Amino acid sequence: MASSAIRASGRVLGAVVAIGGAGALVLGATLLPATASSAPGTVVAPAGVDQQRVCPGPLLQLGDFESATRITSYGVPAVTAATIAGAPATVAALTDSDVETAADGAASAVLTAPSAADDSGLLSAAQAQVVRSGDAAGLAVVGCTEGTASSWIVAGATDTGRSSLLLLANPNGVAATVDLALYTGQGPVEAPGLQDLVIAPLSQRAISLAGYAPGQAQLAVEVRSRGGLVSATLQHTVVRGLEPGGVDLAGRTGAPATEQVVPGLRITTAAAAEARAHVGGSQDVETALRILAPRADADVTIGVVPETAGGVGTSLEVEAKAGRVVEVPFEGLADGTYTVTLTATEPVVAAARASTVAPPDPAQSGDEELPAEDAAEEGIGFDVVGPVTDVAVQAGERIDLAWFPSAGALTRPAAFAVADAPAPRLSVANTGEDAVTVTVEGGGVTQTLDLPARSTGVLDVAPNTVHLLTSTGAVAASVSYAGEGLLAAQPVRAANPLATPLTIYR
Amino acid sequence: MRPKVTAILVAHDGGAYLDRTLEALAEQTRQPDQLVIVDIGAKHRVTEHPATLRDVQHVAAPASLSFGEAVKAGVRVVAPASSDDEWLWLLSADNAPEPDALRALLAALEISPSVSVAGPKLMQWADPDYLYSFGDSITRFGTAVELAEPLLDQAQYDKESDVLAVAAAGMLVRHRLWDRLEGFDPGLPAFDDALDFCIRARLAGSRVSVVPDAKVLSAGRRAPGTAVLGPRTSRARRSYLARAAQLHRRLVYAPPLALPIHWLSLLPLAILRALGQLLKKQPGSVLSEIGAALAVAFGHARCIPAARRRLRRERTLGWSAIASLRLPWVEVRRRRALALEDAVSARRAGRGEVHFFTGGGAWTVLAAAVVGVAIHLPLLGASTVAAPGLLPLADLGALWGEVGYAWRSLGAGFTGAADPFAWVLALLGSVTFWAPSLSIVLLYLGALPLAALAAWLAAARLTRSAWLRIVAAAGWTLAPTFLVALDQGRIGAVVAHLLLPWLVFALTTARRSWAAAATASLLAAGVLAGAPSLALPLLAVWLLGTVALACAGRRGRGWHRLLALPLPAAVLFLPLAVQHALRGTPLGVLADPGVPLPSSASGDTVLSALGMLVALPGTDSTGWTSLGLLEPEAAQLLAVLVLTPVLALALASVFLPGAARSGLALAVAALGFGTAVLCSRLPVASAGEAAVTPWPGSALSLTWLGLLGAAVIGLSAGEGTATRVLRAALGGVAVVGVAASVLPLLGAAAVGTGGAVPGSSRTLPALVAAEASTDPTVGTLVLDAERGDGLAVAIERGAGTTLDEQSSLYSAAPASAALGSTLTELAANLASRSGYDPVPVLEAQRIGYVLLQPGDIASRAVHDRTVAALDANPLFTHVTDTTQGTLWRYTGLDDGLSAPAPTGPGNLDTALGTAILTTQLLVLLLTLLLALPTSGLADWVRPEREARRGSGLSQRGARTEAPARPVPDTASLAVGGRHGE
Repeated sequence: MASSAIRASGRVLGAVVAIGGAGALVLGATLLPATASSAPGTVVAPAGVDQQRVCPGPLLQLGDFESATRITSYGVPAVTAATIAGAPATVAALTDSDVETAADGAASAVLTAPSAADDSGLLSAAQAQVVRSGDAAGLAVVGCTEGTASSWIVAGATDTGRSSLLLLANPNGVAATVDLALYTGQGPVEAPGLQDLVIAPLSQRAISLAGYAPGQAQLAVEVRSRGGLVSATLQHTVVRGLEPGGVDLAGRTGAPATEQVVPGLRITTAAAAEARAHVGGSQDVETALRILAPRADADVTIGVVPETAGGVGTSLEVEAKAGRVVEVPFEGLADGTYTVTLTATEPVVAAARASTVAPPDPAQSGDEELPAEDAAEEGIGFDVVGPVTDVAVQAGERIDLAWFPSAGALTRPAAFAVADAPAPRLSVANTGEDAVTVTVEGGGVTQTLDLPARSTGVLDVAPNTVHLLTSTGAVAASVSYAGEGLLAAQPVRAANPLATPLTIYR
Repeated sequence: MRPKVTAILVAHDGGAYLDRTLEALAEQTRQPDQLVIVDIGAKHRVTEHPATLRDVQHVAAPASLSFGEAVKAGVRVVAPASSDDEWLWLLSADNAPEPDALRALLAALEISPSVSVAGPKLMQWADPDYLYSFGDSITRFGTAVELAEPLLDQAQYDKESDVLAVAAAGMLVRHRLWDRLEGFDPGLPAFDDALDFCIRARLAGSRVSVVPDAKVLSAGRRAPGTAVLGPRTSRARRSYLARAAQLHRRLVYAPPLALPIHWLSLLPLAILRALGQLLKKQPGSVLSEIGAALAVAFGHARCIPAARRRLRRERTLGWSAIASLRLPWVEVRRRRALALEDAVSARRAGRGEVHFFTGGGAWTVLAAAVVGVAIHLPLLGASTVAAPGLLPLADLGALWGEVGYAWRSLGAGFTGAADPFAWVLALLGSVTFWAPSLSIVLLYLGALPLAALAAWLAAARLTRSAWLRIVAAAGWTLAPTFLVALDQGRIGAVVAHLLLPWLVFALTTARRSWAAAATASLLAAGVLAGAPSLALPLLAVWLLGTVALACAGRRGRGWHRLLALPLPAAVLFLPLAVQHALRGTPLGVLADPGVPLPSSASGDTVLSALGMLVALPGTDSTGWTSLGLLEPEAAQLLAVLVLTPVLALALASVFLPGAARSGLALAVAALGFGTAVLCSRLPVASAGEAAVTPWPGSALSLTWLGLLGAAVIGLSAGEGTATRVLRAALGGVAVVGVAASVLPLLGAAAVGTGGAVPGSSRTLPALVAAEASTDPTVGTLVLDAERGDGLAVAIERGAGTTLDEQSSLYSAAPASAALGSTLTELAANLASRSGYDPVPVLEAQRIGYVLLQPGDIASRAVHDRTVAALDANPLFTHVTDTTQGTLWRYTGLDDGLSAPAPTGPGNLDTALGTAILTTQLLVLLLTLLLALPTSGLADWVRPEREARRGSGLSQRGARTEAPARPVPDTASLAVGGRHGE
């Protein structure tokens, strides 16, 4: 009896030890501290090389009364270029190989400054040009950027009255070979001559996209270069009938990604633009977002958030078919500055377009209000589309369009030049989940912005200055300009993105 | 005239033996005329003696004297012989004569005056009815042999009288002869002293005879003996002394012309015989062989010429005079045959049959083979296997060239010790020597049946139930950790899992047999080579087990065989561990061999810790996730649930009989679990930006081993019908659960969507492989974009890196040390717009291509930047986009690269490398010799049986257990008698 009792209690004890031991093991495993899951790498800064920025130069005109393909330039852009410390850049003109006559000898240029030892050595440049002549009117501002191997430009149209000139600048000493991929609302364009375009050293070519994709209202271009980095810009000119409808230089937008941010979408004349958009041939006055999913069909969620508290934003969902450019109009947005965010299931590229509509210049003509029907009868060509019945359109309205490319995330200090254009305003969007503090130095002042998570702030900055933007977290930023019948924007880009230090692992 | 007998009694701490012997001397019916007690005791001196003894002299001599020297010391106090009728009677402390012994000896001498040396019949002290020794002889080659078998004395040898030699104990020798021959040879301090003396007596014309009526006891091995040879003398020392004695005699007896040949043959023969000792499973005698040869060759330089002079001086007859007294070959062979017969029957009696074919083992292995081929159907016909952890193998020469300490062309290249797994890969690749990579395919096809075979045999040591053996084999074959290792190409873990049951199998008998111990040590080396992280638990098991057995007295007998178990593994790992320590990455030695692969096993949540408790190596281990059917957590929960029966059975085993054994198994499981958790928290290497720990799955194999073992032991309890039915049901449920947990993995492998798929012999794009066919040293800089601003860099030569090239020295080193500053700079600048001139480095490192591996969403920033920088670099032309990545070609390759690729010494080109390789090879080969199943051979070459040497005081009674063999009357002493048929 006693021995069997001992045996039984021994077994119970064994069981307790076994099960308790298993439990203790599991508990111990969860309590043992975890170690770092990443390996140490070696941070290597690439060897210094001169900073380069390419300015596309004066606005161009395609065709004159002698030849429909002749390209001439007009006007002289105002170039703002300096390092943060104030050192000027060395300017070297590029050969504009397709421009037959250049007004005032202005040309595209490559600006160089020595390698930036620290943030104060960062070079930034921008150019601005206001035109009020002939076919073109408006403000065109573009940031002068370094060359890239791959650029996406979401801008341009080739339907009636619209011209799109792709400017490809090769600032290097060796020829670059460029392949273009052109996308329209109907899909990718298969056309001869888009491949193996040779850009001679230190030159800029201007290519009219109408030759490859005529009659397209929605365009997007991918530029891939080999042998040298090229800088691509698209000049988008609108002429409605005989009336100039605005001009803009659109730089590259953010590379395909599932998240895109367009900060600083600036709407200045919402009512007038909306009214004008209902007039035939003026649909592209409407504020819209152009999206292209290059590889695969994407479901895109779009958020439009105003930068002023209490403003009304909007939210949309669209489907972007692979390779087809789609435009999403934004209706009912009041005047203000907005941040557009895109979240897509597949990588997309995007850019927003807005227009400003100002009444005719009182210096040139008196107030003349015409009903649209009358205008149509006069044969000028205003057709009212849509259900709107009471549209008042003034002839001679000053319209300018602007492209707002998406801005990449800035994780390290970024330099940007504010062009010599009216009312520059910096918009900074905090895309992260943590509050950040943004410091903007330049023009002799230092301004700070405290941005809660997922919010946008705006700062007015002085024209024709260079600034350094520092942030405690990732932000996206752009500078927009607006005046009477003038609208333009330029994103703030990371400085020297190909020369930042890399962490090398084995 | 009455002969005068002087007894010389040599006492070396005789104790009870001496008292008994003195008493026996006092009781002699014919008392010796004089007794000289030569005391060479180290502890206490002999002063007492029975009063009836006449004329006793005590001689105190140094304790270090041998028997022969002690006798000489005793003879010096005796008056010189004045006639031929004066005799010396040599006795040792344990040689108690029977009362009639001296009388019988003298009576025999009286009737044959030509006999100058007479020996009594030596009986075993513990049981005086049994013979101990009755005359010695030598074979034609001079090996000393006993004439009589240690059997019950039935007067079977009594007819004989003339022999070649008698033992020293109880020897009665004519005093004058003793003086003439100068006594025993000082070069023979322990063995063969009397034999040599008798041979010299024979050659001097005297006769040597045995006297059956005179009986003297001998305690054999337990005799107090002398300082040179006593009961505490180790077996190795005895073997050394015996061998040295034989070699000494050989050099003394040899004709002058043959002497140099004999001398030169000493060492080569010793090495050969040492190998033979290994095959005979007597590793303790290896050093004795070589030591004896060296001692005789160099240490006996003075005493051999002296002995030869003595022999020449006194020899009156030729060697042919004693030829008839040698043991003929016929008799030697007959004895060997008898010994072999005994050993075979003894071995058969001790071996349990496992019934592999009748007990379901063969069917289990066959079923596993069918499943193995079915799930690896896509691999049939493949030239190699591609998996995350797998690379092709190089050709056979390169494969063996990686073993040892050699140049490794990883990164900037370095000279370093190989991972011990290089041995495994070299052996594996040699199986299919014409295409080593094919061996990996064969391993994959054969992995399941091999696992089933090993597990079935190991289970046979735990249970007699055929069904439970099948359960264990199925559980081991379908172990999640094993199938995950196959799926991810963790070939080291696969090898470890395949070898672990064999290790258990060998360890169960390692205490009883040198062969099993050596096999276990080789298997442990193999397991550790595949999974170095198992060093922690295996060392713990070895240490605890050996200490426990050493402390367990008789129950722990044979523990000394376990002492050297870690030796082969230690020799393989030592150079690597030292180099790791010197490079500041001491934990790197625990890194898994081959391609460094991060693992998903963490054990930091309750669910994942529970998963590890049922041996699930991480969230990616179930296959549900890769099939896209379940989220990782849900899949893990499901797997834990279906594996719970195994855990429950294992834990329940402590309720059941055999709880001690199953407790041990559970302890092993816990040890494996602890190691796995520790491994998952211990980064020892890196792959890109990811830290790489030793794979916890290998340690979980150990956990699984313990769980299955405990479950099988638990289920083995009870013999009733109901118990058996219940056991079958529970075992079946557990196996079904295990199968369910791995079903998606098996399915994925079978349809070709698993991690292991048919691969090609190159890992770089075809273009590079084509270039490599003409220039095998052309380098490709392989870049892989990481998250953030990270870029992983490697250099591969020829058609791509191979599995055998991988080294934990490289994967454990930080990037700056592994790549060197030139390569990190080159990579960073090629991936940037920079003012760096890469041409000198490209030429010096012989880099012709740059391959950027495909990026994903997380890594696209650096990926696109690198593409941009390389596309814009006029030194490179974009060549192709393949599944392996984007390839650029260095334009300088058109003119050929001027510099040769960096290279270094092969594994035999440095003194250190040669030393390391030789040592490793030597240890492995010697262990292999010891491990070879050559027990039959051992019986052949062992002419004498261990049972001979009788037993002393404390062993009284043990003798009676031995079966007495009936002995026919026709036995003849001259040929040693015939025992049995």
